[in-house]
Amino acid sequence: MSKVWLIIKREYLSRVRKKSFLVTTLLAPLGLVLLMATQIFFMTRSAEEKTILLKDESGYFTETRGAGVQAKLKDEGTMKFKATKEDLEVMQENYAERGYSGVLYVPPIKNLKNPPDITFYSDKLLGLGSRMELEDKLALVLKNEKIKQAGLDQQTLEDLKTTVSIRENTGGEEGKESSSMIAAGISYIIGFIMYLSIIIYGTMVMRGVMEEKTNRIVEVILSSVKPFQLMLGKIIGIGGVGLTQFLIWIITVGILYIGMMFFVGLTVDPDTLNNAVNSGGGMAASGIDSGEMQMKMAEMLNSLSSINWPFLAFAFVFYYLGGYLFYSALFAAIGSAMGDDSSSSESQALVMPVTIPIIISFFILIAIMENPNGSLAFWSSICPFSSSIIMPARIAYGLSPFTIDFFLSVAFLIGGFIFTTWFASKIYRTGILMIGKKVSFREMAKWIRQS
Amino acid sequence: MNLLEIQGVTKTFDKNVAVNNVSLVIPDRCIFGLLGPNGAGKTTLIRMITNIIAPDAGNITLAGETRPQERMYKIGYMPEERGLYKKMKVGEQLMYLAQLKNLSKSVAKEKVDFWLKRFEIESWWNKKVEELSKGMQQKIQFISTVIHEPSLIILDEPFSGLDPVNSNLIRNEIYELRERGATIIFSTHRMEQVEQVCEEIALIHKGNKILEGSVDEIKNRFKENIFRIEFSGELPELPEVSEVSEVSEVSEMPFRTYDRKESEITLQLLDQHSPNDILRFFVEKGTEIRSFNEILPSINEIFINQVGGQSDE
Repeated sequence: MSKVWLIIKREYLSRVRKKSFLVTTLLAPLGLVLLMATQIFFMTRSAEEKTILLKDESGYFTETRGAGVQAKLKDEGTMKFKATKEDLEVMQENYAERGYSGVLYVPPIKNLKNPPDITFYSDKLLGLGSRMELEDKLALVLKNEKIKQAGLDQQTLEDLKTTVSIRENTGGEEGKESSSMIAAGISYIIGFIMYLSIIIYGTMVMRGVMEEKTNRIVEVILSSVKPFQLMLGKIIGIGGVGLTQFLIWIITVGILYIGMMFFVGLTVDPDTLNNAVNSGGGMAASGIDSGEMQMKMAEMLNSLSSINWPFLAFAFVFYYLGGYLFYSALFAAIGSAMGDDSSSSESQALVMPVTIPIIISFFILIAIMENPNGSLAFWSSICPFSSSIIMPARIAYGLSPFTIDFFLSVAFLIGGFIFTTWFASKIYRTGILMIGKKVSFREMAKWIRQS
Repeated sequence: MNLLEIQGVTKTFDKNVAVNNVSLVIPDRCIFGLLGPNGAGKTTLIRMITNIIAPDAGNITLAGETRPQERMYKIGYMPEERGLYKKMKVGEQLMYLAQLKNLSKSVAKEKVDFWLKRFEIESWWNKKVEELSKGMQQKIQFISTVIHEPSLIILDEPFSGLDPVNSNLIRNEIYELRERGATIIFSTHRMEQVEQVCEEIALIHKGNKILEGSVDEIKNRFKENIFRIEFSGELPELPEVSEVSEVSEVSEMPFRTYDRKESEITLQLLDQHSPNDILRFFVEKGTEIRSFNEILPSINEIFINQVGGQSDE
C-alpha cells in the first residue's frame, strides 16, 4: 500500500506543481464565463438597431403635428419609427438608400375588432424577436384605443392590472422550490463541467500511461511494484489533481455567492424586494430601473437559494470521482495498448469506443433539459456510462437525495468503476509490456481471457 | 553457495513457448552471462526473475526466498530499453525509484547523495532528465539500478549506447559491486564483452537452455585441439594443406596442418597424440620454435556454432 501511496504522490505532485496547473485552474472558469458572455453577446448583437418608416392610413399610430406627422409608437429598445406621408411605392424603392430598415404600412382600419393585415416592406426578414416586439407594440396601441372607446377611466384601468407569477414546486421532502430557468442553466453548466472533466482527466491518465510505456521506464517501475498498483496510483493521483481543482472552484464560488448575498442584503432588504415582486410590479410600472434590476437580482438569488447546495456539492464531487474512476480505468487500458505513435489512426480508433459514450451522454444531457424527470433522464442517470454527467444535472434541477433514482445511480456507478478497474487491469498488465506492437481489440480480448 | 536457483521455468505466450523448462544455478558473487540471439527468451526469463511476469511453471529462489514480492527488493534491474521520467528532476527521480525499492526516505536521500558524489555529478540534482545527454542519462539509470544495494543485479545490454569512457566507468562499477558482495547477471549478444567480463555463462536458444558452465570450461569443452607455433628459420617439408587428410595418416605425423603463414603455422592435434608430440616432431626436425599456444574457440564461435548462425526472430 505504501507503494501505491508513493505513486499517487508522484503523479499528483508532478502535475500540481506545474505552472500550467495554476494557469488552467485560474483560467478555466474565466474561459467558461467568456464562452457564455460570447454567446450572450452574439444573441443581443443579432438584434441590431432599426429605424422604420411608418406610413399610417388608419390614424391610430400617428398624430398630426403642424405640417408633419409624429409616430405614436414609442422608440424603445432597438426599434425607432419615423412617420411619413410620402408615397408608399416611392418609399419601397428608396428606403434602403435613405438608411431605413424597411417601411411599415398600416392600411385604413374600419373595424377595430378585426383589423386588416399590416405590411412590413423590407428586403430582409425581421427575425422572430423583432417581429414579436413590433406586433406587441402595434397591438398595445390598438388595445389602448379600444379601452378609450369602451369608456373606461384611468382608475378602473389601474385596478384591472393583475400580475400572477408561477412558482414551481418540485414536491421534494423539504418542499424546496426552484425556478426552472435558473435550475436549467445550472444543471447544464454542471453537466458540461462533468463532461469536460471526464474527457480531460481521462485523457491525462491515458497520456501518462503512454508516457511510461514509450519512455520505457515502466519496466523499471514494474520490477518494484505490481502493474495494478501502478495503474491505481496513477488513476488516483490524477483524480486528486482534478479534485483539487474542483475544490478550489467550489470554495471560490461559495465565497462569491456569500459575498453577493451579503452585498444585496445590505443594499435592499430581501423581504421588501420579494413583496415588490409579488404585489404586482408597481415599482416596475413607475419605471425605476435600479429597482427593477435589484428585483431581478433578488428573484435570481431567491431561486439560487432554493437549490439544495450542500447536496449538489456532494453530488458534484461524488459523480466527478465516480465517473472519472469509471472512465479513467478504461483510458488507462487503452493507453497501455497504444504503440509509440499516439497520433496514428490506429491509436485514434482505439480511443473511440471510450470517448463515444461520453459524448453521447452529453447529447442526452441536452435532450433531458426539456424533461428532466422523463424515462430517458431516469435510465441515463442510472446507467454508469452516463450517470456521472446526467445525475448531477438532475440534482441541480431539484431531484431529492431520497429517491430510488439516486440510490440506484450511486450503486451502479460504484459497481461500474469497480468492474472497469478490474477489467482494465487485465488489459493494462499485458499491454504495458508490449513494446513496438500494434494492438487490436481482438488481441485485447485475448489478454482478458488469458489472465 | 548459490544465490539464484531457477528450476524448470516455463512461460508460454499464446501458442509460442518463450521459455521452455529452463533450469539455472547462479553462484553467489558471480558475474553471469545470459546469452542468446534476439528473441531467444532472455528478456522473458529476466522478467520472470524480476517478477514482472509470473512463470506458468517452475520455481525461482533468490537467496532462499521464494516469495516473489520479497524477491523484488533484492534485485536491481536495468532493462535494455532504458527510460526515465523526462520531465522529472534527477534527484527526485532517484529518490522516487529508491523508495519504490523499499528504502526509507532518509536512507534514500543518503544513497542518492552518495552515488551522485561518486560519479561527480552532485550538481545534477535539480536538472531535468531531458536536459541530460544520453550518456549522462545512462549513469542515472545505472544509479537507479544499484541504489538499494541489491544482492542480484540484472543488466540487459548494459554497454549499448555508451562511449568507451563511460563503458569503462560502468565496467569498473560492476567489478566494485561484485567485490562488495553482489551477483551480476549480464544479458547480451555481444560476445567479446562476455569473454572480458563473465565467469559463468548460459546460452539460451529458442526458449531452451543449450549450454551452461564457466567460460573456461565451455571453451575447453568445445576446443578442437588446435595449436599455433611461431618459429624462425625454415620448416621441414610438410604435405600441402589441401592434401592433409590422406597424407598425414600415412606419414605418422601427430597433426594435420590447418593454416600456414610466413613464420607461423596452425595445426590440429590428431587423436591419441599429446601436444608434446607436436613439439617433439618439430624439435627433432631442427625447427627453432619461438612460441607454442593452444587456440581455444571464442565464445562467439561456440555461440554461432550452437545456434547455427540464425537469430530466433
